[in-house]
Order: sequence, then structure tokens, then C-alpha cells
Amino acid sequence: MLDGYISDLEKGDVFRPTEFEVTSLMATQYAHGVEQTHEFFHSANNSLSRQVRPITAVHADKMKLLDANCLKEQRITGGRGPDWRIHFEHDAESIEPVFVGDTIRVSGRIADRYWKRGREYLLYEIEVHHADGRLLIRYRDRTLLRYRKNEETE
Amino acid sequence: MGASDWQSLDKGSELHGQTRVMTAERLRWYGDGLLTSSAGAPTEVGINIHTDDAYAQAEGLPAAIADGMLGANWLAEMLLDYFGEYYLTTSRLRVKFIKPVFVGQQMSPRGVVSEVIREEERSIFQIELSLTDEEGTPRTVGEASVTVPNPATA
Repeated sequence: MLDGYISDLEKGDVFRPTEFEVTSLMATQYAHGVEQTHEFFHSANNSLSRQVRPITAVHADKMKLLDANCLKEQRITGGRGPDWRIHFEHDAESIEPVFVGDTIRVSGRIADRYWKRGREYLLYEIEVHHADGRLLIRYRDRTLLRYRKNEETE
Repeated sequence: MGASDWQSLDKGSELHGQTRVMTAERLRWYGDGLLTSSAGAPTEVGINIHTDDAYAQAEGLPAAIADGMLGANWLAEMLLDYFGEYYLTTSRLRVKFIKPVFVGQQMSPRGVVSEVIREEERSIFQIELSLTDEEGTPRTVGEASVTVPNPATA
């Protein structure tokens, strides 16, 4: 179910897409946060001649998508839900780089919600397209809804 | 390491990244970077399972744990060191955060080329990845593939 907490999301939910321009701040501050000093992320003075956003920043796209679709738990502005989730799997395929100045459209859905060994998981499938329609990143993300095990489901 | 080191890689070759110690400051840097990249404006991370022991313990964890994406990014940095722009243009990075990482633990990114698929105009490098602690125990595992043009077509 959209518009509630992240823990309200269900298999089959389709997110309302979010579209925005990638800024230098978005690229550099993500890169700073993980100590990536390659010039690719900080200026256009590199072999691609354009400033690139780290591929792994697709994780930030997921955050934006969740903020736009889980209105009771907008974590970017400090909101929180009943439990803190644990990121378990990151799977990002880069088809083309995301450059600073690009307008991108992030879409996605909940591909699965299931229990395994006493813990409940969400599987996200997210795509990042350029505003002109080109697919840039295909992303799958698996997250535990809470760390504590539910012994009854083991 | 240089951006063209991929030319010396073949099946069985080992990749090594920079060893770092997980610190509370690094966890804050990542949180700030992720939120700033998501918000598009400077944003500081608050109290959560990555920044506060008491909060983490209330969620059932023994102490604050690192966000898995921090280690994923250190693996990505290693791929960028070896493959340069080709990692940014056509690649896939899939990792699972199989064990929590705590403040004070030393993390070392490693890779082994498991296969090189040689085609007429390009080569696809498949790499097994791990992020191991000071005792050699993998805490994050996964695989990557990077497609590079063959020298004659580059």
C-alpha cells in the first residue's frame, strides 16, 4: 500500500515516478560521503568530459522514490517508521552513466515481499531513465523490514 | 593502480582495494552524503542504527552498524581504479551484506577475476568480490561485471 509507512508496502505496489535534475551537489556529496576522490565525480575534467554521478547513488534515488510514495515515513526529512530497515542486497546495472545536468526519471515497484529464516524482506525493482527515454540504470534492492527475528515464522 | 589496469587482468587475477577502518565519522559522512544527494540540499544524518548505539540496541542490534553501502562503495572504488571509465559506462555490481560491520573493524576490498569473455570488439570481465575484516572473514560478498572495448576498437 502506498502513502503509508515503508512497512506497509506490498508485492505489486507500483511507485509514482519522481523526476529531477542531477546537480553537482548530489554527485559530489555522495562521493565525499564514501571518500571517492576520482575526478569523474567532481568535475568535467575527466576522460568522459562530463561530471558523473556515482552509480551507487542509485541508492539515493530509492530514498527519493520512497519519500514520494511513503508519506508517513519521509526519511530524507527525518521521518521514521515503526522499525529501522536493514539493507541486504544492492544490485545495480549501469547501462549508461548519469551525468550532472541530466534530468532523470526514477520509477519502480515492489517485486516481492516475503519471509525467510524469521525475517521479512522487500525486493525493489527500480529503473532510472534519462528524460529523453534512455534507460540508464537497472536496480534491484533487497531490504529487511526489521532486524529482529519473528521466531514464529522460522 | 591506473585506469587501464584492466589490460593486465585475466582469469584468476586478483584485485585489491584500499583497506580502511570503519569509524563513527565515516558512518556520519555516509549518512550526510546519502541524505544530501537524496534531498538535493545539505542535510545531516540524525540518530539511527548507523550513528547511535542506543538506537541500534533498541532495534535488537548489539551496537551501531555500518550502512552496507559504505563497503559497497569501497568495492566500487576498486573497480573504478582498475577499469576507469568503463566501470562507469557499462557494468554491474551486485553485493550482499551478509554480516554486520561495526566501528573499529578493518575492511579490505578484494576481487578475483572469475571469467573473461572475449568477443570480437569487447571483453567482459566477471569478478568475484568480497569485503573482509581483519581476520579475513567476508562481511560483504558479491560479483561484478565490466565491459571494456578491445584495444583495437577502443
